[in-house]
Amino acid sequence: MRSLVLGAILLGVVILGSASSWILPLPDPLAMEVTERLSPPSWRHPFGTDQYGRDLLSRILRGGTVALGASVVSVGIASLIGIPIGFAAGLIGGILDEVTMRLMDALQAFPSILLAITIVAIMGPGPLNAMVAIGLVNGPVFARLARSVALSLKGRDFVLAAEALGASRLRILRYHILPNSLSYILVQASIGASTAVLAEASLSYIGLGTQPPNPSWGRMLEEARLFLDVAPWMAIFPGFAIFLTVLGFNFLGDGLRDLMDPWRRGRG
Amino acid sequence: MLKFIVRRIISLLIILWLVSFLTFLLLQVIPGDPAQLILGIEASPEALGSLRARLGLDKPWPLRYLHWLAGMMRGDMGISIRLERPVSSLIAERLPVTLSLAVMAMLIALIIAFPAGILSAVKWNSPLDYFILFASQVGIAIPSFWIGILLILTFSLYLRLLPTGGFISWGKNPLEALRHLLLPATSLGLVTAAFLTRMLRSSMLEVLSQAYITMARAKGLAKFQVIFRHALKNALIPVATLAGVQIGFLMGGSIVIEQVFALPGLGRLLLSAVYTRDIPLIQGLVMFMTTMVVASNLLVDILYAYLDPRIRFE
Repeated sequence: MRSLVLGAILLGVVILGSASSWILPLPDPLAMEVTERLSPPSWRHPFGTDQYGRDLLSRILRGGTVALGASVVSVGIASLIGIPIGFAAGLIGGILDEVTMRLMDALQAFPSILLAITIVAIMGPGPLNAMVAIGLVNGPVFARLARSVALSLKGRDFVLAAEALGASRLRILRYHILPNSLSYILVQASIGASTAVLAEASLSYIGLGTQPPNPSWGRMLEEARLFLDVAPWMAIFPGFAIFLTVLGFNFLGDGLRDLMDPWRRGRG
Repeated sequence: MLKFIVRRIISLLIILWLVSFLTFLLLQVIPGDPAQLILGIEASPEALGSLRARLGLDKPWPLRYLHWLAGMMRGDMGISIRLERPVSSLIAERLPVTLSLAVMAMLIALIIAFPAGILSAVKWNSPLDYFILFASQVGIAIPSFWIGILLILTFSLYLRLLPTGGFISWGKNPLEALRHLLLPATSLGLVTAAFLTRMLRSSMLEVLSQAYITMARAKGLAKFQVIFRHALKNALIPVATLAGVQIGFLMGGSIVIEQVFALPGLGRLLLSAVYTRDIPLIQGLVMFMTTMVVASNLLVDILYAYLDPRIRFE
């Protein structure tokens, strides 16, 4: 329970923070003030400013939108692609199962960031393309999960009973398999969100995700790297924001897993 | 054992074939004509036509795929469009940097994970255990490139102990090479260390609750012997698999870390190929890096089967 609460609190802070960047009267995250450039944290700029004199607090809060967007979009794409494939492979079986699983093996043989870079190279750099790439890369994880849950549920008595009563495959999928797999999918979604935040930051760091002047935590760290000796504050806060968000999703995932599986409760 | 190895090699070849097909197909979708990209928009149609023929672009894609695959088998990965040099020699030049980085990162990860994982399992539920668990939770959530930046800030800019980036080859000056790799390898290794520590801890806890451990203790063996001779050996098996998975992570992570530390490795080569849309170079690098990961996973699998006979006879 502890990790669930901790994760919820951390993510609550991140969500409120990025919402506040649109609601509260904060400085415009894109507005440049050349006279204020590279100024250290102060009352006026609590997190300092960057090389163009943009307010870093505003930029980090706005960057939260990108990070949360990346997690929602890429988990959405990964599950929309992966889960139907996994269910089909698990429930129909045979050649279909064999072929799709070998394909998933091949997709997972690529180091994930390498595959994401390749996909972005094809579609062109940009925040949405980066999110789609991360989603595509994570699809096989969801497919595997859905397949293994479907396989384990397929032989259970309540599914056999429904089959004996003449329920169609689709009905079994809709009323028996899907509701019983949701909890597993939820845990995976939370882990997937945490890897998506990290992956989006990495892609933006190497210039393939969010493009300037828009703020993204990864991009901000890349800019900070250039001014490390004169403006170290630029490198501290965006990294901390990534860390807290990823930690939040990890705790949420751990908490959800413990909640479903009482046997694991109390063990690390 | 031989049968096991042969079976694994066959499935590895199937995966690599699929990987090569996907890599090739993916990069065919890229919009734009490579010949136009090289010669510019003002090139004459004749020049474009002859360059297309030279690059083999006038043939249908299945033929080009077969041609590319046949070349790969001979170690000929084509020619980089931008750098106008064979992809294989570009890779050979950069490989030592990436390989040293990945190996050093793995060593650092193991050096941290072994004592941390064992200690936290042996001192289960103690403040030390909680501290190690907390540290590993932090390690998993921190992006490696942020660790890298923080390390540069501390060790290069404030303490002025280590260089901020760049590389000097092992042949020229081994000590300098080590100094240049220390920070990047640590940033990459800490994340892997966190994963391995958690795995070693939980697998040690599992093993320590087995009856044969109680038996070993009951017959009066020293605690040290029980932990290292009886428990650790069996606890290592799942850790070995995870270490195999982490090789892929290190390979991918090195792409970003090389960028942070300006290391002239495969990752930087890949990024420059992506920025300039150098398709043959991207294809060659993706194929090469994936093959390395798949091959090292095979080695881990074989090691795994050697450690645990149950797997061989499955």
